[in-house]
Amino acid sequence: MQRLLLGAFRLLLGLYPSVYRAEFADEMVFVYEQVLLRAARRGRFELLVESCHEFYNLPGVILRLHAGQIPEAIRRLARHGPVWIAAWLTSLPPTDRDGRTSWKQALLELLVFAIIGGILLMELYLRQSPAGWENPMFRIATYLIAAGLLPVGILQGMPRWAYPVVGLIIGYSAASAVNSSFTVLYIFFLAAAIVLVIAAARLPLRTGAVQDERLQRMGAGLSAGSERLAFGVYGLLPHLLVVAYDHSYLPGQTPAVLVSVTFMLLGALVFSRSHNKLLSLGALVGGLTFSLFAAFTELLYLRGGLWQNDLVWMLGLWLAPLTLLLIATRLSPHPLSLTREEKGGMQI
Amino acid sequence: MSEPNWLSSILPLREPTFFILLALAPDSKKASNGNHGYAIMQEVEALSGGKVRLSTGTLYEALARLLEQGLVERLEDGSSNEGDRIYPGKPRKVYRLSRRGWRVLEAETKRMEALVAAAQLRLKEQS
Repeated sequence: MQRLLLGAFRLLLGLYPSVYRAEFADEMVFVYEQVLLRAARRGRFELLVESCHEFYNLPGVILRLHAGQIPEAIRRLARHGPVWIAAWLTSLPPTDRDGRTSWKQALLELLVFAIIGGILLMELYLRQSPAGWENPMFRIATYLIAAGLLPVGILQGMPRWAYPVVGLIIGYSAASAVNSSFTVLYIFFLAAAIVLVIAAARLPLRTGAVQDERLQRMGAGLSAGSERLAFGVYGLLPHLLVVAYDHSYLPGQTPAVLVSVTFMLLGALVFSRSHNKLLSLGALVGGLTFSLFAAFTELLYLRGGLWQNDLVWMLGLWLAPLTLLLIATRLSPHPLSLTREEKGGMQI
Repeated sequence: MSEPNWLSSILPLREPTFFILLALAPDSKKASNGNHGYAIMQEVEALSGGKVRLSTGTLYEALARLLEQGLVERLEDGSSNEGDRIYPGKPRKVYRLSRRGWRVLEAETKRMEALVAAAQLRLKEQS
């Protein structure tokens, strides 16, 4: 009985704040054992009373101790928060080129889709606003992603999570450049992409002729081949959904938007956590197909049937990125791709 | 004379806190200066006539707070727990009232004396 109670007490100590536990846990177990010994000498009833007394008080104590840590945590966050975030973003673990990434990487890989997906849900369901290029939320979000994530991605040597960021920006720029004044932005990103591709092709990584480590990492990131490029193409999807639901004219009246966003996120999640190359590419194709077709069902529901123009438009919207994605998967890895040993400490 | 700011922010003490400080106050009958956790529990129970029974969690919550406020000092006892089957060989910790803690205890006692004196005065007038 005493051992059982002591075990339960030890277990509950695990719920204490770690700093406090490190400082007092040993002593507390020792003292509680003394308490149990004394109570046991007085009889079973006393042991029961003592246990109830202890375990009745413990949850309150634990809650108070955790609550006491909150102001300090807030103070520390306010003081060091930006530094922590910057450190977290710039200390990513190396990513396996064709393998499963860490959860930290996966979180970043899902970020672009989660941001635009979240805005899509909010705008169409909560605010009942139309999706589309006139909606400033998508523009602001894209600019923030471009300004916040892209520089970090470039500094990190274009890790896999940076590819959908580029895809999103290129997709947005290309689509909006047609009927807006963002052509300059589009040209800028296109030029930047061309420069990076040329740099990737020219960088002799094996010979070590380029001394700058950041340039080497950038080249290694760009030479990663089909899988990353396919993920980059998948980065177009959030804005394809914006276009698709814009074409539906009315704010989301069916669960289709939720289904689309779910499939988009699911595709990205399976891709980022998958070991298997075929499965990860299948996830991208599946995510693209199902999320776009959910948007088409909304159009079908609103129009009460399909018109020929709609059918052509829908198939075009689906087939164009699908073709790009399949082309990307057919590209062989860059000849300069590094082996695991060669990668060494390179964070790519 | 008015109390310093830090003192007025601590007073009044809660009953268990007061008894913990009192249990740590030097006692002429005791040879050693300072108490172990379990001894504090027993002393509090004895001083309060069995009315205040601290649980282990409550005791250490209070001790952590008192340490942070600088009212109590934590020292390593010279003896180690040789033969202790839970933590053999680990030095035990003892707690001792700090100078600051002593001032708080005195101030709290005076505060309570003033309360009792006021109450007695009123009760005498009534009777």
